[in-house]
Amino acid sequence: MAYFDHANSSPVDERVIQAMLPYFREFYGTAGLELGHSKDIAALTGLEEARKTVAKSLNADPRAIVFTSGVTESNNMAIRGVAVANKGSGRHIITTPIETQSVLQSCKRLEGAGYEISMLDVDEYGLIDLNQLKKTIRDDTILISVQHANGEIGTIQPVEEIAEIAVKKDIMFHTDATHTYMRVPIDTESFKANLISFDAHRIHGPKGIGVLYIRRKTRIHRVLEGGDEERRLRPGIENIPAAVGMAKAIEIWEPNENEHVLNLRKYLEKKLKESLTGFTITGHPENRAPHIFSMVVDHVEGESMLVHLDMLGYSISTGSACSSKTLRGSHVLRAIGLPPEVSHGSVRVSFSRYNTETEIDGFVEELCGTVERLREFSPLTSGVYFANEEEDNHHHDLPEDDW
Amino acid sequence: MGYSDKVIEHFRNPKNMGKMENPDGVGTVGNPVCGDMMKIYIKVEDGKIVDAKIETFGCVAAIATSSMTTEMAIGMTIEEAKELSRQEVAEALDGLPPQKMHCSNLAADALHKAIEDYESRQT
Ligand code: FES
Repeated sequence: MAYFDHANSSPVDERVIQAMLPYFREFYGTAGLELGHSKDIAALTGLEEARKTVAKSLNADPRAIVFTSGVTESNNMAIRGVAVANKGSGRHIITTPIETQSVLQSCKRLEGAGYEISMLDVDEYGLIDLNQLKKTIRDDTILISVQHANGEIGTIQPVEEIAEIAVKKDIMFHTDATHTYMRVPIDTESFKANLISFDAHRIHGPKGIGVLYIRRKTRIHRVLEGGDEERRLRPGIENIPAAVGMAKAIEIWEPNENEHVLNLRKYLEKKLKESLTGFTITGHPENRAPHIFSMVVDHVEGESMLVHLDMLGYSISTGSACSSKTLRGSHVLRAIGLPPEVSHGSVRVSFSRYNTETEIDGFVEELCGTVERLREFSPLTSGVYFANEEEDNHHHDLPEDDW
Repeated sequence: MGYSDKVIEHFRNPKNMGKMENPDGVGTVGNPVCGDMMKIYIKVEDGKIVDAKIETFGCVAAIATSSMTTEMAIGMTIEEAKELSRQEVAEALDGLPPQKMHCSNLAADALHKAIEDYESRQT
C-alpha cells in the first residue's frame, strides 16, 4: 500500500496540524487592525510571522507575499491583475499550452475581452524555445506567463532565462511554481520573476491557502473588491490558521527531502526498466521536478490501471481521456504530441518524504501484474489500432450536470 | 460519482475477454476522439449467439460493459441481440456514472457490427 499522488495533494504533516490548532481555538481574531483587541493582535502576529517565513523561503521581502486561497486564485490574480493594470501599454500576453487550467482559462477570458494571447510551442519534452519566445514578443506585450515545472510530466522550464528576457523588455513575468516550490530553490534576488504562484497543500500544508509573490514595482491591480487586507491586493479576511500551517510546513522542510524523492524516482525508473515492457518516460529526462515520475504504458488505458492499482492499495494518477470529466484527456500530453491512444496509457507517480523504496518494490510488482492483465484482452496488443472513420459523437453526448 | 459494485465486480473479473478462433462475425468500434477501442467476436448457431468474446482497450466502464454485453448476448437470438441497447447494459450493471454512458454505447455498437458482419457472411 502506498500513496503516490503527492503532486496532486499531500497529507498534512501532524506538526502542521498542531501549529494550526491554537488559531482555531485561542487566536481566532482577524488581522485587520494593528491596535485591535488581544485576539486580533495574536492573529495578526501569527499571520505576519507566517508571511516572514514564506518570504524567507524565497529570499524575499515579506511585503512581496500576498496570501490567497490557493494557486488558482494566485494565477487568476497574476494574469488578470496584470492585464488590467497594463492595458494602457498593450494587450498582448504570451503563455504556453501546457499551463494549468487557471492560467489557460484566465487567458481565455482575457481573449474574450480584447486581449491577444500567443501560445508558444513546446517540444516532445514540453520545453519552450527561448528563440521563439524572443520572436513572439511585441511592443504591446505586457505579460509572459510560463510555469516553472509541469505538474503532469515534471519538465522544468528555463524560467531564469525567460525572466531575463522579460526584464530587458520591461514585460511582467509570471510563473506558476506549484510543483517546484520548496523542491527547486527559488531565490528572488537572482531570479527576477515579477509574480510567483504556489500553495501549501502540496508541501504537507493545508488546502485553501496559497501565495502570490509580487515583486516590488510590479504593475498589478486587485481582481477582488473589498477591504484593506493584504495591502488591498487581496481583500477578505485572511485564512490565518492555514497561513500559519503553511509556514509550519515550510519550517519543517528538511534539506535532504528533495534528494530523497529524487532517489525514489531514480529507483522507480530502474525497477521499471528491469521489469516492465512497453513503456516510455514522458517529460524531460533530467530537467524535471524531483518528485514527479511520468510515463505512458503501451496498449492499456490509464483509468483502468488507476482503479486496478487502487484496489491493490496504490494511489497514482493518469492523464487519460477516460479519467477526465470531459473525456478530453490531458492537454499537456496532447501538446507534447502524443496521440490519444498513447496518452490513454499515461501514469504519474509522485513522491514525498513519506515514501520508501520498499513501497516502490511492491508497487512495481502490482503495476506489472495490472498491465499484463489488461494487455491480455487489449485489442491493441496485436498491433492494430482502429478508429472509426466517420465522425463519432460518443464523447460529445456528455450529459448536462443534473444540478 | 464512483462506480457501482456490479461494475467493479465485472472489472475485477471480466467474462468472455479475449480473442476467438473462427468466429462467425466480428465487429470493431474505435473512437477517433478519445481512442477507446473494442473488438467483439460472435459464434452463431441456429440463429442464436452461442458464444462471444471481446477485446477492449478502455476504461473500467468499457471493460465492465464489454463483460456484461457479451454475457447478455450469449443465448440471445440474433434479433434479440440487435435490440440490446446501452441502457439495458448499463441497467444490468446497476448504472454507470453519466460521463461513462458512452462506453456502454461502444460495446453495444460493436455487438451490432458483429451481427452485421455475420449477416453479410450468410449471403
Ligand atoms: S473507454 Fe474512454 S471513457 Fe470509457
